[in-house]
Amino acid sequence: MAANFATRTITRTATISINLVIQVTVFLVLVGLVLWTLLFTPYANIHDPLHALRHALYIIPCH
Amino acid sequence: MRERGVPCTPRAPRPAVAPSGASPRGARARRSATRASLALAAALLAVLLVAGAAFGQGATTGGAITLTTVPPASEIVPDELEQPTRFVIEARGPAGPLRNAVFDVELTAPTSGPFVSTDIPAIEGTTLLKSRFPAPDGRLEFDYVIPIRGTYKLKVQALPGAGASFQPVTQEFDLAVAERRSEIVNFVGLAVGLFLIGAVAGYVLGYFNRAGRATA
Repeated sequence: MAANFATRTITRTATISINLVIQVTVFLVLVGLVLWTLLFTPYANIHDPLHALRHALYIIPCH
Repeated sequence: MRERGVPCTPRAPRPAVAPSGASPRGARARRSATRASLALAAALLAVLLVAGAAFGQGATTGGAITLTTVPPASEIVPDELEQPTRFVIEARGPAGPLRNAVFDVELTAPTSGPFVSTDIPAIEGTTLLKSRFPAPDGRLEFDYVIPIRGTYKLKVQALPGAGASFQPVTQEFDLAVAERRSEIVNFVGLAVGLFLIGAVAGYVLGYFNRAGRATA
């Protein structure tokens, strides 16, 4: 007797869900990291092209 | 026994409780003592004032120092390498310029608050210039690039050089320099931009969290 196989595909979507507090925290950390990198880092390869911008923003310390 | 320098002021023994009808003799004595004290204080004050005026004149007998900047302090733009500020310092005495003078000049940078920095915090509160210049005509001119905003302190001392005999004159000046307008505009733009980014992000995150809750 030939086996009768029925093929069934089950699709399950796994959603990674994080709550709003974590989302906001991640967002703020990312924004802070970008701002620090652009405006505050002493790393020369980033500082030098943005040197003039730092001096043009009133409160950004440069030297 | 009479006290020296004070008119005869018999001390009436002070009653423990003021009598209801104060005795005219005691009141007169107290008034007299008060008058004497006031006169003494006035005399002392007058002496001090005269001495102070004489002392002040002694300090400025040599004359006075004036500072002029080009452009005027209110129009100075900090960190403008192409247009340095011209400092004009003049020392004048009663008979005109203090000739054959030597100027000691000391310029101190301003400080900023604990939370807001200028763009060059390394120089805040430091001595930027400390030099001695000869001033044969009692006049000194030099150009200097004001680096940051704030109130600078300029201390000038005019000393007699060879062949001069005036009293040294010292004067301090406060030079208030405002920030350039474009920097303030840029800062406001940055603040508004950050606020907008925050507002959009808050709206997006809030919208999708509401949608997620509604479908759940």
